[in-house]
Amino acid sequence: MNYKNLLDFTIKNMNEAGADKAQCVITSTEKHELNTENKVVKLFRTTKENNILMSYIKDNKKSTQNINKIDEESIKNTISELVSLAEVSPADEAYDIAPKVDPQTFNIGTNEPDLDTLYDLLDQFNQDLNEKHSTITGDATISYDHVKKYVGNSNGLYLEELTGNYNFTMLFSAKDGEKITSFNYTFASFTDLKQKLTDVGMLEELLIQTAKELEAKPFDSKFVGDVIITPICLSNFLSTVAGVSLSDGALLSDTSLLKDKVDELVFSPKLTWHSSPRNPELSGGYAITSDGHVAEDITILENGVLKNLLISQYGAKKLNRERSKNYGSAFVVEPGDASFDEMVKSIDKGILLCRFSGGQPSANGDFAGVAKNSFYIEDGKIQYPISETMISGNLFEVLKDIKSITKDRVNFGNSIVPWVHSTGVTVSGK
Amino acid sequence: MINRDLNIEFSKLDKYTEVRLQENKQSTLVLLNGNLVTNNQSSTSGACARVYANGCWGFSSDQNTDEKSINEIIAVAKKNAEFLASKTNNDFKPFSSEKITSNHDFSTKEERWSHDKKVKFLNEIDEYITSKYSDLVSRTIVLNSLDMEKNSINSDGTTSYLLWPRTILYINLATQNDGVPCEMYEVLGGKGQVEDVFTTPDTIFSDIDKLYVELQKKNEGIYAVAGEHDVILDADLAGILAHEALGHTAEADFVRNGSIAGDYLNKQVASPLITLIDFANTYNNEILPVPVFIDDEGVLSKDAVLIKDGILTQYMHNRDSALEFNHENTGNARAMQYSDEPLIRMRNTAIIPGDSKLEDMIASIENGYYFTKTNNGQADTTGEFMFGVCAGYEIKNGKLGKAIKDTTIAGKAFDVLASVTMVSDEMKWSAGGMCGKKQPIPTGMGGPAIKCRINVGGK
Repeated sequence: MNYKNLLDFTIKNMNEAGADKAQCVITSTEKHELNTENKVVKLFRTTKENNILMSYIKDNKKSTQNINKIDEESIKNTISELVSLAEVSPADEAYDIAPKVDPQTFNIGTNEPDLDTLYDLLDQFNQDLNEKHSTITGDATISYDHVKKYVGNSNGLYLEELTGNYNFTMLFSAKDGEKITSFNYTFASFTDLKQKLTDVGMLEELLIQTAKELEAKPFDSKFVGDVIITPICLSNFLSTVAGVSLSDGALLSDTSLLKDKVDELVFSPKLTWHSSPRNPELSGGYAITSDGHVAEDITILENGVLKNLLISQYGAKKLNRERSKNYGSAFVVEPGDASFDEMVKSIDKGILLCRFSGGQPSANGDFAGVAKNSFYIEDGKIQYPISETMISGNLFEVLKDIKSITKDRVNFGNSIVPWVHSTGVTVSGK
Repeated sequence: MINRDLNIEFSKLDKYTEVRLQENKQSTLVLLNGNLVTNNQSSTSGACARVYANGCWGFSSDQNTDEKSINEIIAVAKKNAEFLASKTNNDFKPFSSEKITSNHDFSTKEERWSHDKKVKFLNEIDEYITSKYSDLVSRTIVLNSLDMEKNSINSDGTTSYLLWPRTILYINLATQNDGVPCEMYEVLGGKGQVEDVFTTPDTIFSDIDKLYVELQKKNEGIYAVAGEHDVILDADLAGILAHEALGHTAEADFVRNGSIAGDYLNKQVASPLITLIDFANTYNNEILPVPVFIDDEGVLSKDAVLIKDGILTQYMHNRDSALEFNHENTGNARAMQYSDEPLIRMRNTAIIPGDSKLEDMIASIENGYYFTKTNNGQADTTGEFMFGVCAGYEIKNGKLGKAIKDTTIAGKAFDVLASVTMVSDEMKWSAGGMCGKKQPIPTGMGGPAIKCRINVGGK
């Protein structure tokens, strides 16, 4: 299949249908996936799919359509619908397409899957679970995903992004008799199969922690104290901060508290946070933004000073601001100089927050939820695992009051993040 | 075309095989402060096959649905199943075989709205908001329509056709207090295409007025006091409690992985006031928000009575788990896209109404809360649950007091359900929910209001 020809055909037909501006993204995805059910490989799934996303703009009116058919008749029929959709839409001068740049092909990861090794890796993992983590129960998925993306438009833009990587996720808990723990999970993207699955996504550490949680006790008091935010939890919190204060949605709805704070100190000077989709250490990165620009690495926060928002081309035009070089994810947080042990030793009363189960925090950063898979810290020691414990606070205040950041970080393939020690959270039990 | 006879020669296939054709059509319009930021339609269709070999499944899918493509995906699925079977010594028992047929089409018989009409519908709602409530910081209006069309056949000879549509109107209003944002949302709509769910914009105006009042009260509201309290959970929250707190733990795949429900079958786990059912398609002669007649494995879908008078009585199953547990198969297997394998999913989960009046339930609380809306929920193998509460009121001396700012409630399913002392006599259903579990999928939730004790997050 010549996707370039398909792209050209689609754009040509959109132009002939009257588009002032037309943009098209064709994605071809092939997945080979193995699934386990409690340490038994039960399902082998192979899927192939094409997707065409068309954006049509005429008289500043825009419509978009996705189809998964690549025959000419389907494309032409879809373009007719696009024209009708756009005609009845309100005009907005902010609608636009990406400018032309030199054609480029980006290769990320590996194009040749090794499915036999993939099975063997999973099989070995199941054996490791049985031998070394016998109380652990859960389902795992490992896949090879090959994604080919072709982006073109009526400005003459042409970009290709060819990505191939392995993706692993596992949802698990520990059970011993009638004792059972909360479920835990991890995920990771990687291109190197010469490693054990327990080495990815801090899985080995999580399996050991989860087994300890069989002795979890409900927390029976309430205090305001310190928190050590683990890497998975930090990734999720940073995604939340991006969503409620840095991205298009928050800026356009005028609910962002950081919208006018570029070049101001907004969080702790200890925190430097990048969005680095082009970082070669990230096998799950990307090279092209969702609106067809070549993505570049940016620093969101430098020593606590806000350096970049995450504004798309549409958002930039709407808000009369500069477009960001990428729109988030692929987070990399700079390491600090603390060790995890030093962090724990410095805490009088606090919580090791391994997973936060809660709703989307408010636009003002308030959050309240359950501290899952977490541990109580007192007098410089991790005392015991806790259950049925709520944690609340304000995310922005937590990031302002950072006391230290670890040297060590975890590479999940789509983020590289450390442990962070902060304070000012309310921990309450029954 | 999805709705057609699938002429598959199962006699030539030596292994149990399922074939499903599916199309999902979705339309999304998002008006953000009067700007149409999303004006999108999507269509995803294709065919999939699943083959069973010695306890292992092979699955393959393709976007083409012609006969040649279907034969190819059956061949790949078979190859995948046999690859796994060659590597394992799984127990193999044959599935029970039942040939059944189902045909349901919930598409509208009305004249279809043009796209122009949909956009005008949203614009009129937006104009009403801006003309009446000029002090808002922002307003977001989303009209989302989803049509799922499935046509399945399997080696038993079972055939099933279902066209299930859902239309949701989501309205979010935001204001602020000294620069601190405050938001409130409402979800309207449910099963049906837009022509069967909405008529004219003015029929929505009273819901907007009510939403604005709730927003103002919340903006001037207070934080809940953290700790355990007597609480009335209104229908939305009772529904999500049934789904998250109990429902997930009673899905047989979670039971297999050690969920708490695995240790409590046929034991008292809740107040005798509680009967909790995952309905397949009908309640009180009414077709429910997410009706399933034959599931995506070709099994007749039946109501799963999870709790009866406080006793845990049943799990939700698919073919594999029903065999493994030697239980009745409740037909809970569903897939979101044509390229997805069926997983055990809830359908329409609800606590059954009781005898109490809501006003009496509120009057019975000296110091507690009445929570009315949620924006998400999560479950756990331990039966612990959490959900966000974005609307509610304090109760002081049996009367509603100030509104509450966003908070979270949590607890252990069995403990909370055991603490229920009153159940209201009304049943309300919602169809706007999505359940995540490898594949996000629409689910129905419902319930009366219930009075219970629960842990509240706050300050």
